Formats: sequence, C-alpha cells, structure tokens
Amino acid sequence: MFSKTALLVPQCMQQQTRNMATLKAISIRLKSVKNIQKITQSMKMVSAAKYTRAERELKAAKPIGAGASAFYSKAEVTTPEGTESPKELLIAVTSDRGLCGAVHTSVARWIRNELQTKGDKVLVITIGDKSRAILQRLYGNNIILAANEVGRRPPTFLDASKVAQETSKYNFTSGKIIYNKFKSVVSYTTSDLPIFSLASVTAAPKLGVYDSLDADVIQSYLEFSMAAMLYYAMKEGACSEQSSRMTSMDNASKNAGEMIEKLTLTFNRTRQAVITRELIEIISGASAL
Amino acid sequence: MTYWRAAGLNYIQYSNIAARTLRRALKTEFRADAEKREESFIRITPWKDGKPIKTSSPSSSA
Amino acid sequence: MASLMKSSRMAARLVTSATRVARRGYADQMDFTLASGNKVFYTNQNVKQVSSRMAARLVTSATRLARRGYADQMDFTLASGNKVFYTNQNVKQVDVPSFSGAFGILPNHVPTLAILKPGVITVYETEGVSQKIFVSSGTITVNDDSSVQIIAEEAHPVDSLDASAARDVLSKAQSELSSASSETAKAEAQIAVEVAEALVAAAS
Repeated sequence: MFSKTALLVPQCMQQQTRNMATLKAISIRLKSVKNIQKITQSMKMVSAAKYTRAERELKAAKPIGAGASAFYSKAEVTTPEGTESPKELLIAVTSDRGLCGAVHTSVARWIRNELQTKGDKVLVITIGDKSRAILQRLYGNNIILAANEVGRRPPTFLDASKVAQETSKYNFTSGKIIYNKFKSVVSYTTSDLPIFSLASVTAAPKLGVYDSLDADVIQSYLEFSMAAMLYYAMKEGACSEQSSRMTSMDNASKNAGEMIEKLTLTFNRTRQAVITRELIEIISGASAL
Repeated sequence: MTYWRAAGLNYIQYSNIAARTLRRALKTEFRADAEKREESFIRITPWKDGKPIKTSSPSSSA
Repeated sequence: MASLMKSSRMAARLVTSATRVARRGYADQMDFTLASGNKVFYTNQNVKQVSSRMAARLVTSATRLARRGYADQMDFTLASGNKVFYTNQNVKQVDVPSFSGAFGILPNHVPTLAILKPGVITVYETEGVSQKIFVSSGTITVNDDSSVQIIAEEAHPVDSLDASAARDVLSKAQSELSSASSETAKAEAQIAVEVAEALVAAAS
C-alpha cells in the first residue's frame, strides 16, 4: 500500500528548493498518508476486537478438533496402499478478506507445492475467495468446489456443515484440511488435519478392537467428524487471520507514522526554502533601486 | 438403514435439524445467543475445468 | 463393595451389548455359555447369535476390567458447538443415548464408535454428583486408552430447557410432518418430531 508513496519521498527531497507547487504536492501527500494511517489504525482496533472474540471461540472449538481427530490417530487409520487411481482431497481454509499478512498465501502455497508434484490426482476445495484467486490461474482444473462469503462473521457450525455436506458428494481416498493453526498473537503455523474415506477407515488395522461397528455407524460418524473438523479448522483460521490482520495493520500504522515524520520534515524545509527565496528576491529587488 | 438415510439425508443434515430443534426449546434467556449460531452466509459453487458451474439451485443444506 | 457393584453393572452392559448383536442374527435356538476367569456371563442360555470376535472381546474386556481393578480413570471430553462441558476430566460414569441403544460408559469400556441420538447424557462426576445434558446429535468415541470423546453440535444442561417451548416445538413439528409432501420433507419433519419428543420428555 505504501510502496508508491515511499518512492515519492526522495523525489520531493530533490525538488525541495523549487517553488510553491512542490509545497502543495507535499502537503497533499502528507494529508493522504495521514488519512491512510487513520484507516489502518481503526482497522487495527476493529480486528483487535474481532481477534479477542475469535480467540475465545477458538478455545471452545479446540476440544472438538482434538476429539474428532483422536479416533483417526488412535485407530491408526492410514490411506490404504496400492489403491487404484487414488484421489486426494485438499481443503483450503481461508477467507474472502485480505490485508492480513501472509495467512492466505501460505495456505495456497502449501497446496501449490502439493499440486506441483501430484498433478491432477488432487481435488481442491477452496473456502474463501483468497485461496481460490491464488490457485485458479494455474490450478483451476483441480478446483471442484469454491466457497465464499466467509470471513465477514465468525464461522458457525452450520457453515462447516454446509461445506462438509457438499464435500460428501465427491469420492476421495484420503485428504487433508489445510489451515492456519493459531499459536500466539504474532505467530501461526500452516498445518493440516487428515481426513479419511469410509474405505480407509474400514481398512484400518486397529479397527477390530472397536466394538459394535456397522457401516451405517461409521458412515454417520465420518460425516459428523468431517463437519466437526472443518468447524475447528475454520475457527483456527479465523483466529490466525484476525491476529495477523491486527499485527499487519499495526505495522502499517507505524510505517505511515514514519512516513508522516519524513514528509513533515520535507514540507517544513521546502516551506523555509520558499520563504528564503522570496526574501532574497525582495531584498535584491530593493537594493537594485 | 435409518428412515432419514433412506430419504436421501445424511447425518450432517440430521444433526443440523436436531440442533435447530433443540435451540427452539431453550428458555428465552438462552435463545437469543443460540440463534446467532443459525447464521450462515457461506455460498458454495461447484467448479469444473477451471470455471464455476452455474447451478439453478444454490446449495442449501439447512 | 463399590467395585462389586461396578462390575455387576459392567456385566449387565456386556449382556445388553451381546443381545444387541444377537438381535441382528437369526431365529434359531442356541445353548450358549460364556465364562471367563473372573465371571460367568451365560450358562446354557438361549441366545440368537454370538460373533466369536465379539465373545473374545467381551472376555478380554472383562479380564482387563478385572486386572486393572477399581483405580482406573476415565479421560472424558464433552464438547459442543456452543459450549465445552468437560475437557480430559476424570469422571465415574457417563450414560449416553445412541442409535445403537442407550449405554453406560465406565472406565475401560470396550473401544467403540457410536452416533448420538437426541437425548440426555448423564455424567456421574463423583459420588453423588451428576449432571444432565441434553445433546442434539454428534459422535461418541471410546478409545482403548480409556479416553472418551463426545462431540455434539448443540448441547445444553437440562435446566436450560423450557417445557412449554418444547411442547410447542413438538406440536409444530407434528403438524409439519402431516403436511409434508415430499419424501425428504417428511424425513426432515420426522427428525424434528423425534428430537422434540426427546425434549418434552427431558424438560418435564
């Protein structure tokens, strides 16, 4: 946002001995940077409030995520080896809104790396316009579902259910939910949650120890787990996004502050130069008489 | 097979309906907060060959 | 004494789970005996079907119970979309409603997966202290390390339910069921009726 203005600052310095027009230009620039700072500052305040809420809600969603994925790790569910034409499903959890650092790009990059090696065996579901926008140019053919209108309000279980519902219409052997896991206000890591198909779960080596299972129970179980894990991943993503937006808006306000300082200095110098020049003109005019 | 699966519903839909029904039966002081969880703005579009497919009926599971 | 009571409760549960398996079987008669080192479960009883895997599992779980004794802990988590009730807490017993029948979970329960049916979960925290929570739907996971996870979409303490609101919901659902035309609409209304009936029962 500020790269353009940053380039203009030294230009103003070179012209500082010139005329009133430069002075005007600097004052306009100064005003606009001040306005931008006001915007970034208020955006920071807004995301700070949203972040507090997101963090509180994330705390409540954590046991859901842990509970939903516990079975897969404890029953040692893995992708069955040697399946004919394996289809991998990747779900990118991002949002529609930008100005929040690299949260969305890092999710998209994760998927891009995966797609570079695995090619068209991978199906991609994008949640949020940002990941879709990044992936559609090169890997548009891999996208099977795109969800948007995400990020304005905190994600609800119903949102996650809808995505899980649509996902259940596609066949896949294994998959991953890629999301940003919130660590602290200043850091997050891009992580993945494994998801499995009915076939891989029934093939799990330790499934035998589980009592009274029939296909109907496992299917319902998987359907609900999918929604629960997506819900958890969306909450993690939302919290990382808000915290990241908060820090990047804070940085933007700081940068704008620095720029305002520099511009004020240039402005004052230019104004002084203009005054001096006018004085010289008057004095030399008077002495010529 | 359960009657709802026979009718083409899955457990996610079952769960959504059950949760909604439960929210309606709460005491008034808890209901306002509960209704916030019925908000969902997400829109899902199926894609094929790098382009969104125009569907006559957008996804509505709730 | 307490441990004796507990093991008898456990045994009762094993019987129900065996009969549940049996219900799925065939109409022939059988003379069935199941005994383990610590307990006799059946003596020449007529049951419909016994899967040997199931029987083996019953025996292992019974011996496991006997071996580990009373000191066992349960690692219980109950979380829903609206509230977290328990996280990795040690509780005595949890009774849950599921699609494969209501059952109780004690420490060292056989690992299982189940789907929640709308109804009341009773959590016995310590001696004499219990909590009743109405759950809409979700999953129950009992792992072999005695950790139990219940995840629900919506869950509220039974005290938060309003009896008259529940009755309203039920009558509305019933009228929707009678006016439903399509197969899907009928099933959707039927689900609402099912939940509302459970709500009325729990709230009154």
